[in-house]
Amino acid sequence: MARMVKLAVFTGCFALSKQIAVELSTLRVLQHLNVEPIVPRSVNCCGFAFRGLYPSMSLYLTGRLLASLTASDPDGILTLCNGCYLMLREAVHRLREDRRLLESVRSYLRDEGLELRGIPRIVHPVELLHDIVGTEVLKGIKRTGDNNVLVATHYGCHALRPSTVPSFDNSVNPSKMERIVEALGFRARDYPERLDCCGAVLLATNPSLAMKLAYSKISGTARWGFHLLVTTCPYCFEMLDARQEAVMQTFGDEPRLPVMLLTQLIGLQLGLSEGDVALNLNLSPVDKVLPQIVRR
Amino acid sequence: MVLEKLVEVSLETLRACYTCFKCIGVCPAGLRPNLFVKAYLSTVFRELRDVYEEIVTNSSLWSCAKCLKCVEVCPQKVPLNDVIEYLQREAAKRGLAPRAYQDMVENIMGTFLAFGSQTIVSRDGDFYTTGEARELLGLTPLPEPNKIEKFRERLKGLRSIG
Repeated sequence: MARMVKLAVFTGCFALSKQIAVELSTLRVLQHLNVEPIVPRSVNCCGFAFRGLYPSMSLYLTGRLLASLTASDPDGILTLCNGCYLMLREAVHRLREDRRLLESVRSYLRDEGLELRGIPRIVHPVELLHDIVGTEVLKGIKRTGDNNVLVATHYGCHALRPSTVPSFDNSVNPSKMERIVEALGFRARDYPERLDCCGAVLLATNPSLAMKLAYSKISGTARWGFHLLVTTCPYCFEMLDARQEAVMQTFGDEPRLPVMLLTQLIGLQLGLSEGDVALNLNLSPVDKVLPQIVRR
Repeated sequence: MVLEKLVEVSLETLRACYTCFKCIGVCPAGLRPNLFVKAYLSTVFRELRDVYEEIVTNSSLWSCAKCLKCVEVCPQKVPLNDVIEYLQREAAKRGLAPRAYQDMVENIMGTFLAFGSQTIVSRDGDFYTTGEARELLGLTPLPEPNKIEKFRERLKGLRSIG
């Protein structure tokens, strides 16, 4: 096997403070996949939420992050949240294209004792699993489940869009998450709501509209007969899993779509326990699908 | 400092909009992104000033979910996200920005992060603080806000630039 890949892991504010199963399941799974994660303690917010209001502040925050996260000279930065992923891949794209901007960010950071040496590769979890670990390795991990489980993939808006900023997959017809699900021995299928928004960004400014978008996504997905939906983004996971009951009740409906993190599903396939991937923190009806995934 | 002027949308790009309404079709929030383009153009074309006024003072500006579907579907590659963000800054100059963003910035100034400790609930109905849950699962504690003064000072400076 190729040499071990060393990645700096950027968890992001929301996964650090609320959806902690994201970081836990990622770190647990990486132990088995020949990837060495480095989790720097010196991090800051990426500035996604107010990028429109304070563009300079947001660029400073992402630049500062790039400098802190590359201090250990990793092969790339693994970004667990889609919002942070967009901010970092956009910053990297911009700094590569605009030498003057790069120099000004560098000198601004230098005043703070931070050095932005090179421009790192920004890695999305799906990209890590598909392109770096590879589906052949995933095919080889222990399978404990039933291959009739039909899985809906949810990439999340900022994993793929806008296509003007390079990403890991095709923005209108991505397929890497499906290949991963299939490598794990499950079935994946396209569905009309696949690239729809979870609504999370609106929680800060228009919560009732946020609930409406989440309802449209969850109820729309559920009607196609999926046994499970998987995602990697902590915000999408919050809307689709943690808030599913509240979302469904708001529209006189009830929770019916089991939701897991992709790394939780992989962990279970590797034979990790439910506790190892913090499955007790999933609030959607995952009990409905667990017996088909974990043979007890 | 060059960091000041970052987001500029060229008028040529904006004039490329021929109101095909594809952006309206894909917007999950039911917005009319083409009107945002008109509002932006009013910085040059005075006759569009009423559209500008309506948009900047209208709450629809804050109902954008940032899903970026309009950007993707635009046949003329108009960067509608940049347009919306520009108009949001214009609204902010009039004190119309939602308080939530200010709160996040304040949090970052105090802790480096946008959010403090949260309540985490398990499926069995147990409640944990972020710190308790992270410790229980063997995750590192949240970053300490050590040596944050310089960082805070810089954020204040950058906030005043807008």
